[in-house]
Amino acid sequence: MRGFVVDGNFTADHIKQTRPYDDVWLTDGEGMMTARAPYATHIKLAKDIKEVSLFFVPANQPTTISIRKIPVNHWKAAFGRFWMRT
Amino acid sequence: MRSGIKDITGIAVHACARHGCYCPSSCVNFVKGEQQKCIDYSVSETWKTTNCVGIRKLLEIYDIICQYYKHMGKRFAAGQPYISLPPIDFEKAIGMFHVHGHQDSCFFRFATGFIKGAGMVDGEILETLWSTLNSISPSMRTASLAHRSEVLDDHMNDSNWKKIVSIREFIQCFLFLN
Repeated sequence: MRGFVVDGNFTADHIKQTRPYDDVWLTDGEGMMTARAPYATHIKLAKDIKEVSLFFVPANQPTTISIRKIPVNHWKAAFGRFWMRT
Repeated sequence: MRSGIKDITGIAVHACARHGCYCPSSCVNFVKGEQQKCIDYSVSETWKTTNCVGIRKLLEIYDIICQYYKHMGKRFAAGQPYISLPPIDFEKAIGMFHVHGHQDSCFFRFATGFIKGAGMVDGEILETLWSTLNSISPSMRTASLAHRSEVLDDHMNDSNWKKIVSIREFIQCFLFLN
């Protein structure tokens, strides 16, 4: 089994340049960094799938969550360990 | 929120779980936080460049894989021209440090110690690599983008190269100790 580790690093950030068109690129995807053009198009095209909350309220419903409206199985999923059987 | 003064807010890299070598062409730039599409691209680049054809299983260790893998199939299957998954089974795992910050159920599902065939890996090798990279990456903050990518490239390559060169001494030491 071949293992890979992924992680993000937020120290390696970058401030916007005043004249980015003056850059001279010697490598493009040959080293550790990705190729620029495919990555930029991928970021533009791809859509992030939004996380769905356990207490999901549909868009046409009012956003205030009433405890009484939450189905029983959602409560069980959230607090299954502490769920008391009657 | 997209940052006003930054055009790149961070990087994400794949590394070998055992030795901690950076995977070539897998370093992606975040444009707006740690988005899943950025990691997707890194995943697909990694298996393309590390000669993964013909192996039985892949182990993917990520800090938030319990959230990340939920829609992984959807994100890769939706006619994406640039990303693809290998025809190999994936084993999902969380590093042994980060898994303790998750729910209790995540520990038994995703801890590397419980995965058959994973060996003795903590999945936190990148944290040690970041600590060396962090000493140079702030100086790349105001550099030009081309220069930044070259310098990061060089330092990652150097880290890999030092590992290749010094693994002989490590194995020798290991053999003598036993």
